[in-house]
Amino acid sequence: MSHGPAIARSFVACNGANLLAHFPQSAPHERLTLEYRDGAADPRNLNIHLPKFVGDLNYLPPRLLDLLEIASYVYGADRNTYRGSKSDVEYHRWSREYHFAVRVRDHDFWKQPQVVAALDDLLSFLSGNVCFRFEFDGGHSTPQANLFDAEEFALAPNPDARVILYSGGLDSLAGVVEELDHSDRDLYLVSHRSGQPATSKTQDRLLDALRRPDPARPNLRAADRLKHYRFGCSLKGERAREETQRTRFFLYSAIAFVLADLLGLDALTVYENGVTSLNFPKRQDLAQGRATRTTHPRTITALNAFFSLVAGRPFRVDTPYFWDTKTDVLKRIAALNREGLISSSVSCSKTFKVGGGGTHCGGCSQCVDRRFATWAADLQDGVEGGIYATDFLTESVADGDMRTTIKDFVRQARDFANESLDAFYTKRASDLADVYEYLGIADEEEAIDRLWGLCHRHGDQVKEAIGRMREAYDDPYTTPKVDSFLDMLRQREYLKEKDMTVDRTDPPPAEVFFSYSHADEALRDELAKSLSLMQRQGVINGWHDRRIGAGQEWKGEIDEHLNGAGVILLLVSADFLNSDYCYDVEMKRAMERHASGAARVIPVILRECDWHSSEFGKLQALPTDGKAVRGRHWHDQDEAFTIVAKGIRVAVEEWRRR
Amino acid sequence: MGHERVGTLPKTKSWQGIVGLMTGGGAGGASGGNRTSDFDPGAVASATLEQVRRRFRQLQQDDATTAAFTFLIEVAVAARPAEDDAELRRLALGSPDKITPLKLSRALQKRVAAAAEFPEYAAIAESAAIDALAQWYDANKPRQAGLFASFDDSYSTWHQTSTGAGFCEMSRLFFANLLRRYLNYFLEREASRVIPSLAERDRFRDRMGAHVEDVSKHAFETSKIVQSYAAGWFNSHAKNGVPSEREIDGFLSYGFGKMRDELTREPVDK
Repeated sequence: MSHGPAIARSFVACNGANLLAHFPQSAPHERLTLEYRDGAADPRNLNIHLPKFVGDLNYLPPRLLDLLEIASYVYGADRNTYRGSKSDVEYHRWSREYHFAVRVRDHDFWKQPQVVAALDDLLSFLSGNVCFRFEFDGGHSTPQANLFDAEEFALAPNPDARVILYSGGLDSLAGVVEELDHSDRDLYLVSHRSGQPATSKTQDRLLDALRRPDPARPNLRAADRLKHYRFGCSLKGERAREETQRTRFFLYSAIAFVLADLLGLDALTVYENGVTSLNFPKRQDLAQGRATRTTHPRTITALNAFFSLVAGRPFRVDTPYFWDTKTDVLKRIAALNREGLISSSVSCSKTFKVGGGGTHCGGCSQCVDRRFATWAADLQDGVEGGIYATDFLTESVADGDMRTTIKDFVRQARDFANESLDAFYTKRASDLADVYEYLGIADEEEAIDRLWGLCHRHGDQVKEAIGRMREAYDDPYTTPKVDSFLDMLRQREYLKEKDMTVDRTDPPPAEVFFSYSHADEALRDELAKSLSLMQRQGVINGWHDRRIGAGQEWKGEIDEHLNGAGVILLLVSADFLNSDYCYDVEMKRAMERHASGAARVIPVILRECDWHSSEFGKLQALPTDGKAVRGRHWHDQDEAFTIVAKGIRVAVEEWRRR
Repeated sequence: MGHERVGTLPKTKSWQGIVGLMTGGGAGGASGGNRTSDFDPGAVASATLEQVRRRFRQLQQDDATTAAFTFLIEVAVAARPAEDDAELRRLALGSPDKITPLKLSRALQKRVAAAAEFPEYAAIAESAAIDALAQWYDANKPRQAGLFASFDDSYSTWHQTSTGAGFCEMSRLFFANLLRRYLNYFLEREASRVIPSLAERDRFRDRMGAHVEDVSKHAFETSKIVQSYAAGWFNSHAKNGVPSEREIDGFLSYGFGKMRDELTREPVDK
């Protein structure tokens, strides 16, 4: 009894098939004709480099040729079908019915109901569309690719080989280096070339690096063992109407399957970490495959079923990194001392945004994931330099999509880290219902427990990465740039318990003025470090004269901050007492403000000196009993500064609550 | 792999006014400097539903929404016998093991998929019904047991849904989750974009969630009319089995109407 918007239908004719004969109802709907052959009745609008691929392999049986054409046509239709604007009120145009009519060579095979059903099941889930209906015509053929395009020249079986999907990203890189090191088998790397020169360049450059002789591994024979097969498929002469290309993985895996089948293998391998494979939606609007399901367990199960039908024997897609996080994958590379290859890999899905400033946009979901994983694995120093066009850590993130991606990535990771097993189950039941029975684990409890463990580890690793990022960049005396990641993190309240963060209006941070002799600059720095947590929590905002910028009038600046501070720390030593400016100007003004109630003055005794009879001698000093930080009273300096920091926190909190 | 399509709200004045409300900046559009602690969750929810009033009605009348809610009724009806769990096991696709929320959810997914005409609505309704099953089970399982307690007490837990009060609470959970997910379908596109810090982004989520929970509780718990209506409806209409489609449509229409009325009442009377 629905009265909603009519669902979109696309009717697609391929290889000259008669669409109306199969789908008479297609007449009033969106119709698309796809053709890649020159000289066919319909104009060529798709590039499928089938002859070149066949030339590389010598010979492909008709069913495999059909498969490559079908996968290419599905990809072409996907690229040609607009899925609606990102700003539509409701995304009803995202999902549609596809009806394909395709001429094929092995008609008896393709027309079987179970084959058609397997294609529908696979493609509908993978792409988030309503359905993919296929009707097939026979009688299709293509000319011989070359003189060797004959069965007797077919590729020789290589049962020990491994066929690997090779994107040029981190996960496939890790898979290849591990295979090279841990086995001596031949590795057939498969890539889809979509006409993006940057992607092709990345894959080739990384492969060159992998093939280069490694003095530490004289017996690797990488140049001999690594074989790269590329299959080109792209729209011809027009820009894609749709950028999301949800069915690309079908084409990609079909190419790998064809090669594996020719080599007599029963499996192909996809290296992808489990958190990315699950890709649990971070927002409600990411349902329906708007968060990709490329290597989702349900996709892999559907691929296994479909490829087994095509092969006529059990065939599987292996995902050996499913129980890994991205950080785990990076650690695998590092464990083999191959981290030098990492910067040659590219994870970015928006390289068109990069321009001349690196190889990664820095803000797409893949870039964000890569960046946190790199820091979590503690590999940032060697592999980060200059590859990101936008450095979200320290620079303002002007792009709203990037801000959404970064914040939601961290929020999800935080939730993963904090959720108990029961909470994980209850809160994510609708996602888990789509996963657990495709994991090959009979027991539901064990399946959910392992998924929780994976996500929990990812959450902990992201937290570890954030800790390192803050340690490296978060200067307590510098306000982070607006909309930088450090700015997004300010106060770190998102890490506190909910009841501490909801409905609470925080008083502004107390301005803290450091009055000190430059001879004690090193000790001032140490004190500042002890106060950095308060700075990050937004409890204080510290200032000292070293923050005066070039060209600023220093006395005016000092006066302004001294007169505006709520808390004034006198860092007492013999040098402080000896300094006319410290003692006669800053201390005197501080005591005036203390006496009037406009500020709280706290003497911090840095070094032993005769301070008790001074004007501030009557004030409560820190550390305890005014025993100097650098004195014999403390086990070490850290102990003394910790006591100082705690005392300042109490005083500041009192000041803020006034 | 791992790609996400980042959506936005329409750039029309009325939608951007809602974005402004999200940041506590009024109807004039997003203003990055405002703190979300100033925002009024009731105003955001009410303005959002006002903006999609006609579409929300379509969601209520969608076949997949009806199928999802019907499945919850079937669970309550199947769990009615005190001892015999055969009917509920059949509903859980013949599971011989513990009848967990996920097992029922898989069956529910198949039911919704068969009825889905508009995938966007189907996804929201399906998730809301699964949420309701999982939350119900979590709230009603024996306190000393986790979800994965070693002994199977699952049937006695589900059995509690078969009373009028049990059905009333399951219904409330469904309506609340559906409303929350539908609001998030719009608001989460912009929330992280316009709310400056992660702390305030969390505050926004928590307060919106609490508001929807309050609204649903007010509609279903504190309103004796709805409570007795829901319990009475279940006891009379489901006495001899699953009610007819027409009867279920009638209940859905009543439930959604109450929720909408509560949401647009200003301010919410707690």
